[in-house]
Amino acid sequence: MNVSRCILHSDLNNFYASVEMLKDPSLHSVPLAVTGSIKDRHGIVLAKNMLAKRAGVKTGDVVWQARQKCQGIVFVPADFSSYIRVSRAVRKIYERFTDRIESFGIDECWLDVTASRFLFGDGKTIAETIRETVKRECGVTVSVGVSWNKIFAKLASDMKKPDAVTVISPENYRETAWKLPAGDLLYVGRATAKRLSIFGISTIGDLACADEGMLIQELGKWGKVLYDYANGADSSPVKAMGEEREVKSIGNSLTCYRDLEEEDEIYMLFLLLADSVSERLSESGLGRAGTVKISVVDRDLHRFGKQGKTQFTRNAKELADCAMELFRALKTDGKPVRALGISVSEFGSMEQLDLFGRSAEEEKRERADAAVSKIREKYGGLAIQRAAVLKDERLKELDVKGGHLVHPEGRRK
Amino acid sequence: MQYEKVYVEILARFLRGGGMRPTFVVWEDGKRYAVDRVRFVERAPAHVGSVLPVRYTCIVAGRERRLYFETEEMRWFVEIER
Repeated sequence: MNVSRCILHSDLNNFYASVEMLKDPSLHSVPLAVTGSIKDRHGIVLAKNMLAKRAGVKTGDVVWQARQKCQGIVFVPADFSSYIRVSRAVRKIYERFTDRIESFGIDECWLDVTASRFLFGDGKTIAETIRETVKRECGVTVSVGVSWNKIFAKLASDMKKPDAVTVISPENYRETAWKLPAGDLLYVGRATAKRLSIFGISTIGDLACADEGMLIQELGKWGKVLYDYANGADSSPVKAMGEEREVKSIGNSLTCYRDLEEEDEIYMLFLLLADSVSERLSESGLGRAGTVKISVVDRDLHRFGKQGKTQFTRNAKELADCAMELFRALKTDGKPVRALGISVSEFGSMEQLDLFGRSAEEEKRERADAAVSKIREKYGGLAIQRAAVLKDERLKELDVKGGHLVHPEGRRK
Repeated sequence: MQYEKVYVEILARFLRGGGMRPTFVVWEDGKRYAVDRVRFVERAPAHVGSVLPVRYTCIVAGRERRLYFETEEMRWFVEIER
């Protein structure tokens, strides 16, 4: 366990509601809920103030539900431009202390202040200074968590609200973090929490002390991740400013050494490309993709493109099949194909752990994909190949993902 | 204490090196009050409704007064106690 880092997690309290109270201070004394546009039928509660929270109003409640729970509640429509302005102003305050700031939504940030401690005092002092400065300058409050890793820092910021600083240190984490329910841990959703409870794991401490092998057996690779999280062994870095640019799409394209005429040759190339895209997609941690786009260049250098929706997937064969379907629907002139490309976008955000939601077949395919990538990682890209590709002597020697190609800028490191 | 937000007209000087200093407050009745000195310029919330105003703590006619500038709307206001 590397405890030499100092990570803060800063969370703006009841953010949207707080900004609305800045705009109209009289809202301080009434229960308040910020909603989507009621007129456009987006009338659900996006945020609420303390008074509404106490009355049991929850984010996601429909307007009439909230009104039932809390008489006299005031609804205001969301005003995102103001929220963004305040969020930026608060970020500017963070920037006085470090350049390693990673946003997590509009109202949360991680800050790596490991090196800043030489300038501004220890982690707790920096956290207190940030808390005071944000309140004094912007009129909203933050809860700051201090720890040596991102996971515990986030846990800490949730422990005391609003306007507070909480430290989870190597000395006290057994008495603090470990006492919290396992469901509080980042990325443990309702389904996983339920699954864990079957094994008698109800707190983060239980999770940390559970048998690692058992967790891996039951939860797959996430078992290992969660085990590490619970033990404070998360070493993921806080991204520096500018590093966290969002990846919008992942794609590969290839100009074949010869023009392709037959459908099965084209499919073969799609498979090659899909293999690479699928591997990069799983490496990126972006989850699955919902849109597939193909690009085709024919012998006369005419370009064609088409895109379509797919079931959220990252399986290579599914991607290739979808690409082939698009290709068939595409009205090319029927000339031989010179180059092909596949790109995927519309990523299903950070994978929520849902252990019951996926079919056995899907899981099997994903496991096979994972095994293939592992073999390739260990023995090189050509160590294991699709039979369809072996028909062509030169294509079978082509390693799309490996050395040959430079991935476009913006790929996640 | 209750406060009321009153928008006011301000005459201001723009500094060569950047920044802005109010020089006169023009009241509703047209009367002008000279800003003798600007003591602090800082971002600070007001008692009345306003998102991220910049607070100018000034000496006006011998007394300390707070003038607020709303950057988004490009207008000034003062708070009046009621």
